[in-house]
Amino acid sequence: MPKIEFLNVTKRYGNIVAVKNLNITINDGEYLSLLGPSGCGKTTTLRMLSGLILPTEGKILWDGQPIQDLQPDERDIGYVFQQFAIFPHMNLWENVAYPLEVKGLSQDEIEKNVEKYLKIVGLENKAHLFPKDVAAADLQRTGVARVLARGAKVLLLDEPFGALDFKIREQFQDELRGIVKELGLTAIHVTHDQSEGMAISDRIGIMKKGKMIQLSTPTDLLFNPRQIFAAHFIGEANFLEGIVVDKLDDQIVVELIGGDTLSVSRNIASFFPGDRVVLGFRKGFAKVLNERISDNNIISGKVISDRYLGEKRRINVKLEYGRSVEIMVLPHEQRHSEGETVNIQILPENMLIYHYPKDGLEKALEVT
Amino acid sequence: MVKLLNFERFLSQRPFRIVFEVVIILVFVSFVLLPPLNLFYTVIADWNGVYSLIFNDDILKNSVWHGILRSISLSFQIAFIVTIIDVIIGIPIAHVLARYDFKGKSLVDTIIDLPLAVPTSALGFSIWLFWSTKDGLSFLWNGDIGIFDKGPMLLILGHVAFSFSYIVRNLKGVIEEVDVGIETAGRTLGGSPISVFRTITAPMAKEGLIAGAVLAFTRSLGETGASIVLSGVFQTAPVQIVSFMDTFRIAQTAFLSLILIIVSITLLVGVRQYARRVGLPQPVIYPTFERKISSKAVVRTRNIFSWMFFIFIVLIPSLFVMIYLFMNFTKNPITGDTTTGALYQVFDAPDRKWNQMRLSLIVSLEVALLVTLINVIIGPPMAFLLVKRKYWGKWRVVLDAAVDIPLVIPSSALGFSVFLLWGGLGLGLTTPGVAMIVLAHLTFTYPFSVRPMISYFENLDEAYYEAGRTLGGSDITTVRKIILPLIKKGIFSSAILTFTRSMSETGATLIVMGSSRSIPVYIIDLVEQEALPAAAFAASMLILISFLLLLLARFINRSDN
Repeated sequence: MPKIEFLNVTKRYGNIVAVKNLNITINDGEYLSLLGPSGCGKTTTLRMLSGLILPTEGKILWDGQPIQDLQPDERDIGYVFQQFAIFPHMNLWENVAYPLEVKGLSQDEIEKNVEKYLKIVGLENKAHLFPKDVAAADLQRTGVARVLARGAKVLLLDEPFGALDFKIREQFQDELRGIVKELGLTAIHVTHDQSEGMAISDRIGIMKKGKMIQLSTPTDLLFNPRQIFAAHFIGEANFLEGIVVDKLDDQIVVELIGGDTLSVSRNIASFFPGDRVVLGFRKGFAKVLNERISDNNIISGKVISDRYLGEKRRINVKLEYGRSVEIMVLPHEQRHSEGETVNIQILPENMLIYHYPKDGLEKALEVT
Repeated sequence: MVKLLNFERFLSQRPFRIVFEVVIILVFVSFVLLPPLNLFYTVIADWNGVYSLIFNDDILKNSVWHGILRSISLSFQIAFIVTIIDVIIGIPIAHVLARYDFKGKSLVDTIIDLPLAVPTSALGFSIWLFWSTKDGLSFLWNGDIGIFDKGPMLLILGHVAFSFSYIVRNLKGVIEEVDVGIETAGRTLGGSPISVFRTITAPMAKEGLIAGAVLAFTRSLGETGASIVLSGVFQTAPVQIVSFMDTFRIAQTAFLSLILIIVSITLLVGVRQYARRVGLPQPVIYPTFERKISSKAVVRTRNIFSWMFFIFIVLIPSLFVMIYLFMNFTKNPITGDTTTGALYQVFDAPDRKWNQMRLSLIVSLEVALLVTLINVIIGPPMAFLLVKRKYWGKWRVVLDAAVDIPLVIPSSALGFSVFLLWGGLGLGLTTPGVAMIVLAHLTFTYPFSVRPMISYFENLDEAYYEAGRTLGGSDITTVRKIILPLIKKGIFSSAILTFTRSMSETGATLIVMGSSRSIPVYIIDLVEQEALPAAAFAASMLILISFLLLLLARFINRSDN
């Protein structure tokens, strides 16, 4: 059963570094997502594992054995493509039979296996159709059946839902995770859609500019993002600059530029008075109050807009000293009119705190 | 099955792949780059000899040089006039074909392509029959002589007939590439059709239009097969190469070939490099004037004129040889003399022309088949390497242009450079004859098997190959089971193109054939022997074969969509 390790893997194209010193371990049976903006190196990582491209430096281990120089056909992997890459000159049945044929199996075995895997993805009735005659979702089901038939232990999924309609994606996510778990496979799934990553994965790796920023469970990423970028990319967060003014037993107090103070109660061990910091809080983890009921962790400002955003509402508030923040609330909560003064409360345990980044906040939040 | 898969896996290993790629690249170099380079080298190495023969002969002084200058200048003048006629009359036809849908469009499309099926020597013969003999146009009023004698006028008519369809096809593709939406935007913003074409479509299609014009120019400059029949005493440069070669004046042939090759390659490279930077005539708009000439009446007149031109200057003269054959099939239509009928001349006359005709047809078929087979094997891999391999770097652009060299250099000059490289004066691999015809044809058809495949590979989604590999196929297995089936139509239609071209080539064959005859050359022989009905018989036979192949290619391309 495969356990995959990347050891100091680097991929360069001329002067451009696509992946830099990557070290990750993927456990057997794990569903892992690689998430990040385009150009972050997630697809390069996937392709190095597939053998379609070779790393410039470093090792890739498969149960301890180095595989970084093997050809794609010598690895037990299955690659599922964003644009499906279903062979247009073969019908769905022949597409699924291809990996069995190139393995040199007998006709009997081929037939048995093709039927079996077509059935797993629910295409047994469409086997005779050609790619041009079936819907996008069925093309991707064929793509999955095809790699299962190859006997792949590790599925490499390159934006597999990227070319599918929004509505069908969620259903397909459940379907795919179900198949992977039932067959005991390992899956590595590349996506730039954070909700897809959160919904489908056991663990998520956030990548930026060729580096792994954080690799942890969806819960951990949501509640304990270890870097500003991770907090920014998963979920939605507001960031405010300030200086630590006091350190108590269980919390520290930060004075924001402009005068308000906020307390933080988690992950505070490395902060001391005088430190320049960035505070963050999730847009959905704040409350909007009409009156300043207590002084505890409240910032106030004027409402700029209050709009529906699908099933949520987004309130944009301009703070007294110029910065603005956004808060997500449920639709049935009280509406606010433009210019109204509101108080925003964030509990100390919902505050995120980071040392002020060397290159500035803007740079740390940059997506490209 | 398992054995085959294992064998393919074995051959997919890196060392084999490297050997294979090296061989393919060597073939490219030796077919395309080496002959012209060797020619260049020969002239430079023997410059003193060349100089004294051409510029400083004891008796002739520099009269050879003057002869060369005369033929080159004639070639340039003709090419220039032909290009202007082709482009001016071709654009309206190309525009109609690219932009409008009408009933019978595909038929019109095929008719436009019809002259392409006429081999150049047959075309020259046909044009000459039509304009210069009393059996041609003059027959309508029982004239005693033709309208034009052999010479510049006839050469222009011949070159227009032979290049027009290429240019229309080319311009059509160029216009099709300009987004209709942008033209529509120009129209809804108040531009008249002519203004929009001149200030929007033409600048956007600039590179293609210029490339089309240069194509017309180089084709006319290099045309040999028809010109031999049409030129009379007014030799164009490619015809002069053939006549130099007839008397085995190697130095002169080499010198003239080199000049033509340099001119053609300069044009090719120049266009690729500079077409982007050239500005078309200033974008000032003359609203009233251009609206006036955009009016229905003017446009209709212009279109009718263009089509009439095509029908009466290009189509009918090109195919006239078949009408002539029909009239002279069994007997002369006026005298009723059966000994001047095609049937008697070919089958019953004591010199047994059919034997020779059959032999030359077999030579042509053999050569074409062999050439097609070899090029189908070596062409697509080269296209693949050009598109997919990264090791070319900047040279990719240069090599991409180099693929087209055999297309633009005059076929007689090409034939000569092949003769010089592979023949007794060069590597000594073979002597003039069928083998050398094959080598010459391999060279000039090489672009047909590479060029279309380049765009096929560029459009082929890499993911199919990657899917084939990641699903467990070895390199070669994936190529066999996935890539080849996906590009087989491209290969097939370029094979037909190669075959047709090889069947109808004249200029290069004349240089390298030795005592062998191909059917297009035999047509010229028959014309020189004044066995016109027999020549018409051979020409019509060749046109029919080419036309059927052309239809087949169209059919294959059609089913592609």
